[in-house]
Amino acid sequence: MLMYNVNRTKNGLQFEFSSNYVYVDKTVESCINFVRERSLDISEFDLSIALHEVLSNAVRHGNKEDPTKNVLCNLFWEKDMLQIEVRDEGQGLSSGDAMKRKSGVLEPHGMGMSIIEGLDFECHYVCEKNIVLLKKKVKVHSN
Amino acid sequence: MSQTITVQPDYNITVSSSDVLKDELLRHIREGADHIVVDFSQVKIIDSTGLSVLISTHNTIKDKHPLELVNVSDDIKKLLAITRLDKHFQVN
Repeated sequence: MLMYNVNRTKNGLQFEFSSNYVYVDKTVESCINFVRERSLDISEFDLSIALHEVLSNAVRHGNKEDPTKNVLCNLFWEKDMLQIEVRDEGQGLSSGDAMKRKSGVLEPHGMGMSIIEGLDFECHYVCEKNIVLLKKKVKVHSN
Repeated sequence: MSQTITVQPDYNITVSSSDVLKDELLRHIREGADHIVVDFSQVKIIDSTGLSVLISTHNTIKDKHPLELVNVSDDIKKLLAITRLDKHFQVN
């Protein structure tokens, strides 16, 4: 049975959902609404793309699209730093570079992490590498 | 003789919707299109899965004509530059 839960925390949002791409879209939308509410000065396009990439990777590569496995996402903003932690139930990557695209080769796979880094998010793999942590320095919009 | 077709997705091209675009592009290729133009005027977001669909299409037809993208937003142009796909597709 598919599940989707979202909880508001002191500084952000916590999500837990079954491995289904519709829930990826739903989570991205909620996160965008959160940064709008807080007037955070971050490109909604950049955040949407980074979230799509990291959440889709968790569903596809981490949980192998198994709907009985869940994705956990914790987005929070603290001390001018927006952090997004995504955890799946997979085995993790064998190498931090495993998802990267070979430079100069036009391949239809492996672009996701390059895109995240290209959008200037700090990207860290934690623990057994089934956790990805994205960070970006973000202030409140001055207007 | 070259057969040009323009496709205009009216949705964001992400992992949950990219199969719709993939099916449409494949249908046009099967029907003989060798110059494909994708009009991005209604597309705000495209993720790596969507880009993969464009790459596969480009790889199929590139000997005749590179995939052409028109009405592309500055944000999506930035993404194409990050992935260096702007060196392969014709972007307007």
